[in-house]
Amino acid sequence: MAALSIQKLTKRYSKNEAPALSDFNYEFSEGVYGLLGPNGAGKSTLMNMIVGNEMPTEGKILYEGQEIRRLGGKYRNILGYMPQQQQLYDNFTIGRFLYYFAALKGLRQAEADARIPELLKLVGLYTHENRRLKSLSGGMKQRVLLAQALLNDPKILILDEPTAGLDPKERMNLRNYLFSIAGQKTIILATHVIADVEQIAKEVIFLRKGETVLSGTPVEAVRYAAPSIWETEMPGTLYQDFSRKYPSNRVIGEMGEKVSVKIISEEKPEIENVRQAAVSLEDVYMYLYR
Amino acid sequence: MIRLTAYEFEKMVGRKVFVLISGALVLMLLMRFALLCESEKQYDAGLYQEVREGYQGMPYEEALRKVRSDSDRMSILGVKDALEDAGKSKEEIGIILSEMYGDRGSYEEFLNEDPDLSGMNEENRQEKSRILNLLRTQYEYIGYYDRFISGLPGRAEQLRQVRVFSGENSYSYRVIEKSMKDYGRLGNVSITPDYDFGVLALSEFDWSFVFTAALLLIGCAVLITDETDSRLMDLQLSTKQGRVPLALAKWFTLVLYGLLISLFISIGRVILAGSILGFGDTGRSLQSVSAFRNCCRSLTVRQWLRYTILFPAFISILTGTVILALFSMLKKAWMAAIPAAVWIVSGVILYRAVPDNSALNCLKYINLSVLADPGKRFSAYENCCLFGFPVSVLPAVSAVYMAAAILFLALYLTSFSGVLRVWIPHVRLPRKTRLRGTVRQSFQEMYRFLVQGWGCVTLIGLVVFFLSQMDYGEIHLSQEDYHYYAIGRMIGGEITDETEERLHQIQQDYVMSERDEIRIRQDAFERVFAEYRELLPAREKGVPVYYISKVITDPVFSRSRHFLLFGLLLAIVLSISFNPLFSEDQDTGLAALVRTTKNGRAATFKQRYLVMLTMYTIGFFGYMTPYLILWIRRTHMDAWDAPIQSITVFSGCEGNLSVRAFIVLWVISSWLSGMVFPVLMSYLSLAIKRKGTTLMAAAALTAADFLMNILHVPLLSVLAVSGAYGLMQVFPETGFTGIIYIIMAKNLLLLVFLLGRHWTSYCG
Repeated sequence: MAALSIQKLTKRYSKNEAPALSDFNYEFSEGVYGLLGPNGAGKSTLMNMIVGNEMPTEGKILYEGQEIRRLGGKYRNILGYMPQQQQLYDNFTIGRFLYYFAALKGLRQAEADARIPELLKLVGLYTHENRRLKSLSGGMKQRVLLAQALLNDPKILILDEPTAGLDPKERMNLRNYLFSIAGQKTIILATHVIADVEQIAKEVIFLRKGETVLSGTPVEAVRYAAPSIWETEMPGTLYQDFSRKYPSNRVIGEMGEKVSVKIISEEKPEIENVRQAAVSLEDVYMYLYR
Repeated sequence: MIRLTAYEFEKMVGRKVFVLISGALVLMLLMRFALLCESEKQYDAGLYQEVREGYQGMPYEEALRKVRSDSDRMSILGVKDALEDAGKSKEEIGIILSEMYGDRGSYEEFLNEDPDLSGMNEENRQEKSRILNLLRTQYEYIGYYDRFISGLPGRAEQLRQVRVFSGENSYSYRVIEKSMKDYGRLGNVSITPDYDFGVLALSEFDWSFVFTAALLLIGCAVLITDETDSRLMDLQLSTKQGRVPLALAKWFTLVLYGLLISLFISIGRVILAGSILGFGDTGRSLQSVSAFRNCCRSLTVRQWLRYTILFPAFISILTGTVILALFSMLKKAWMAAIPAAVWIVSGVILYRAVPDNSALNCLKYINLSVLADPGKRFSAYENCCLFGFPVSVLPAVSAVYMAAAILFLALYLTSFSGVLRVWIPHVRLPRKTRLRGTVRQSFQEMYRFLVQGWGCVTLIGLVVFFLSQMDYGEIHLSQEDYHYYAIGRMIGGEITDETEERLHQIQQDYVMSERDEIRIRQDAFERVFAEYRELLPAREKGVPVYYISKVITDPVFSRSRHFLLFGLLLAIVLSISFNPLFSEDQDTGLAALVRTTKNGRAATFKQRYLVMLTMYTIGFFGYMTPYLILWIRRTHMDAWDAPIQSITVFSGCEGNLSVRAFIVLWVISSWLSGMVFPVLMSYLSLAIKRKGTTLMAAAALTAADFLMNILHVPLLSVLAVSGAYGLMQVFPETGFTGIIYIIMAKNLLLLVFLLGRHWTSYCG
């Protein structure tokens, strides 16, 4: 049985407006799920409903077959949530903030005492425990929020832009950590950074204006877009004229005076040396939202 | 520099909550002083001036003779009226009064010397009698003062004859010599009687510097700690103007803020004292106010008023400089706040606790509190001992403070710009023994309230404020009050058919027993008799009323506006500190995170309300306790069980309710009703989201509700939540004891409704 089952989920903020999320259906089991889409696609609405902060207009969310609204505290006990949040309790230290959330999550004292140092080490803040939150950089605040989300060792982990503000090494560490725990947890990760999910996601879901435009494993997504992704090389001096003719393109490399370009087109472009490209999730994103 | 100061100032006033706390504190202190002035308003100032004009321009001896004669005439008239009321025949009255006033000749002729007396009603006669007594005391004081000054050399000579004062190298001998010189400089001080009550009200110890210091502490946290914590200070220090110019700009900003606050308070106090009580002619000598008879400086009342404004301003400059230096040297807010708080609080304690003549009086006088007491500074002849030599306290203290201000400014500038580095041991305990956090949500929410929401500042402020409200002393009774109180005790207990007879007996046995005191005793008797008569309508309705003196009942039962104003201030001050509990999460968006946790809904709701309820209860009883203590200390136990109609303001009410039951119900009802305001604010925060806007909206609604009662709008004053606080005025008007239950039930229903709505919205 899927850990989290979403059925015909629709959220409408006003009767006259288009729904923020429309007829969304999905079965989430253990593993990392990437939630992708531009601003306004419905990612935050979906996550807010999964964490119980918003009520669906229609449809339901089931955890192990039971509606999450009925489960209440039991459901929240297995939930970890990391919002995109930069304003915290300014005068709290990192340690105080984590103990506060340990209290909110109902951890026992011994559990909190063991878990907090462990998580602080994981997110690289062990030596900063006594620093006040207002003195932290954006990236450090993100790490505090991540540690908070993991405090109760949640079975369902909802992460909203978890790598924003992290340096490359920290991003790699986080990806590795998520991958290492993904066997026992359902992790739903919303991001703009495709590389965050490309290597670790079990499945990806692309949303646009509240509707699912594509979902499946990264391989399936790549297969879906592959026929429309082309690649060619050309002298750098010709790129400007080329870009006018094929606006859906992206430069992927520079070799001396030549540039290597990927083109998104349903038809094969009428250019010399054009060929089918090796496709990445980023190409799929460009293809879907071109 | 000016531009830098303007930016720093903008940072401070940009903190809405800080500005709101400052405004609320200033308002609270001024309201407290206004109420104090109201309670000191014992005489009709206009009538006083009118009566006084009758003696102006006369030679002193003549004016004294006339005022004595006029005041005696009033007393004789009072005794005559009382004897007539007691049913004495004209002959009997004539015999009694002739015996008493025989040495003046015929009492009737004496009375007829003032033809205006016969047309005067009883109320006007009593007021004029009191004013004449006051004027008589003031004129007698002129003679006393002249004798005091002219007798100084003789007294000094007498003291020098005493062995302990005779050694020329002794401190005592030097004090005698110095006092001769100090008073000798006064020359011929002219004493002019005038209305002194505004001056007396302003001469009380002024606690406001403690509140200004608390605001300066928060100001330093904004200017220094916030910027150090957020690393902005490193950036600022790296700029061209980032050292001494920036340090000076911050100092100017803080000092300016402190000055503004202290000037608002002290000028406000002067204006309030002048408009409510009046200062009389401010060009007269300060010694004209009898409380300042020992003043050895040649000052007018106007000059002294300037000192009452200048002293707090000077305190705020010194306090700001010292606190800023501490913040700059010690970096961490708590490390600076502790010595600053110890310095100020211990100063107040030492000032109040060390006796004037103690060998440790240096601790009392070289102390910040000295300047907060401009009344004592000029009314007492004070010296402190410096290497065996007496030094006048005021110049000594001013010199020490000047030096301290310069020293701390230098310390601040050097430490801010990095020239001076204070070594602070960095205490870092091994990991295992480091202070652990707790997972007890109640502790965590309390911490959020006290530290994150600055609730600790509010709490300390409330404690200091309520302590300053406490009536520490015994009842200070004048001679008339003493007799009034004694007569009241003689008839204390239930009013019966025999009470009136008993009263007349008391008049004959007690009032007339001491010939020298008849005038005063008669005035006291008349006050008791008037109160007795106010109780008669209730007795005629069959209520077994008791006589309870107004001295006991007035501080509690005749202060409806007082309770309303303080209730309003308490509600607003507590709302400011409770505001972050719920609205901060809404404002920052953290609510979305908190709500996803296991205990983030119902448990959080309960814990936050528990914090609110605990703190509110502490604040409420802190506010009520001084009045309840006052009441308990002054009331005899039998008065507790007396019907509420025994309190003269309630004598027209219907229904059965004892004084004890009324007080208990009133306290419970006010406690319950006061909780409505923070609950309303917490509920509003869900809809409004913004912390500042929520606070403004809640403050406006609270103020509007209290205004219904303060302005006494008919019907709405009962419907308003604050009706519970205004029960003293609603109760006698409706004349129905059941109104207390109606108000309580209505407010309880509203509280339950608001809590229910908040619960479903927050936890749903």
